[in-house]
Amino acid sequence: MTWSNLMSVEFLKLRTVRSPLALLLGAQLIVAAGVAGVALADEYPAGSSRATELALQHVGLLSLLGLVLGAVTTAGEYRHRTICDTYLAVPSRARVIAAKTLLMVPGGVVLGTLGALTALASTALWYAAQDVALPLDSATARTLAGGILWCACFTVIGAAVGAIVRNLAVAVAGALTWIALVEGIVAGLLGDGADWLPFACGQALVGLGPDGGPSPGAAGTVLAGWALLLCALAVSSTVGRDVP
Amino acid sequence: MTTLEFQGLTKRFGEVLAVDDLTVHVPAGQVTGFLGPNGAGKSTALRLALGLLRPTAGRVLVAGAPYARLPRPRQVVGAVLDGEGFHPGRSGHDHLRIQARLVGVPRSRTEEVLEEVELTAHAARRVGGYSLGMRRRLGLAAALLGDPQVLVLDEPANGLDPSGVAWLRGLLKARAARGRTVLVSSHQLSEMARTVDRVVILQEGRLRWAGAVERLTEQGEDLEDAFLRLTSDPPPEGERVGEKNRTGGNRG
Repeated sequence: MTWSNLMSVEFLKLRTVRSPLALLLGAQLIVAAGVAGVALADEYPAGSSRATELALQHVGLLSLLGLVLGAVTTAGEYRHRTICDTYLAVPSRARVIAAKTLLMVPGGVVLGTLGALTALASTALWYAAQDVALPLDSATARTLAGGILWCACFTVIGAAVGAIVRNLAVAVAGALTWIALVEGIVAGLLGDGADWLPFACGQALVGLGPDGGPSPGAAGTVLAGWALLLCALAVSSTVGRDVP
Repeated sequence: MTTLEFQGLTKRFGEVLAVDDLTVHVPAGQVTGFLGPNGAGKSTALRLALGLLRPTAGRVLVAGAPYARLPRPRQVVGAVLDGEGFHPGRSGHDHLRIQARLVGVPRSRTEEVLEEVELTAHAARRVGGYSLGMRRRLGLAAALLGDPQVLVLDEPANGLDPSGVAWLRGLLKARAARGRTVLVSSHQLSEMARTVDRVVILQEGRLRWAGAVERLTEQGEDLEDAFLRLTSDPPPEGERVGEKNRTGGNRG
């Protein structure tokens, strides 16, 4: 089976169930609600660079949904036992896992891009109500592009973690626990090196990182490296394991 | 003729020896029953044959090659392993569309196999709403997509109603009559007696008997009695019962 066929099969799998669409729709609600929260807090005036940044940074939140989408793509196959048919058709498990994780790059980009459009539209609506124009400057573009890259990398990471763990609930819970708890603990042990952990890199991409932290370009490069590393682990751990 | 060759197949899960030095030939043109008590190693052996489990020792050859090395494996072997393997939110038709792409056959083939398993009327429904028997038929449809030379079925009759069981029997016999290889595991001995030409009996991972049903029952026993006799006691230490020839005969 060619790579293009394999990718098209994986895409068809996503298109024929409702969970990816539900995630995409839920993502738009989360972003819109986040922007509304910034507006209602009224901490910064509409049209200010800080208010715009705060509103648009919500695109980065979608990286958490990207983790879930990625995990569903790989661990979901184990959950529903469809993975057997997949491996029977494509015995090269490395190709299957590579195709699944590769597909999550455009998957995460779509998730992030739709979220960025929703964030822009929501912010524009808020500003329009205040008779203020939405500033479409380089800072806005940088924040949105960073959010999209964060989504893409975390969606790939979700797929990799799902392939390694193979249990959907454990993969999702484990990934979220890493973000909510473990990365903070590890950060305490690493000191300055904590800026290069996955979630910290994502935060730096949308301008949520600490002062003096990595630049968005460096953070994006390191985050992509984390995604590649986890993909390599996913492939190597899958190839030699039994499929129960 | 595409055959299956189990050659010294062994699988150990930690301390548990699930399959122990299994050597058996599954010929084309016949329905071969794969029998054994629960935990005998039948499902493990089938998964080993299809590359889903890695053998501790030995190998299984399909048409002379390990399954993983077949160029279009699903067009050589069609398999139903546990009767599940469906996303409950996906329609039966969409499940087969995906399978058709994986197998490498045109989309029109999905309609043909849906007709063959008599599931066309339900194809648009989500699989989560299917009965167990309907899921069995959908699994069989997927296995038949590539019109494979070999069918490997693990407990395919579970959940089928009497007419479904009769339909399945006809399907398996028809495929064998066309020179195809059919290996089917089941606990339903009375049904197996009506369906299979040969049996392979495992106990505690070891081969107890392999050969034609007539040879097994030539002393007047029926298949059930012979099965219970062979599997009522632990297999004798060191006993390895393999086929003495590849066309049917064996010791009983």
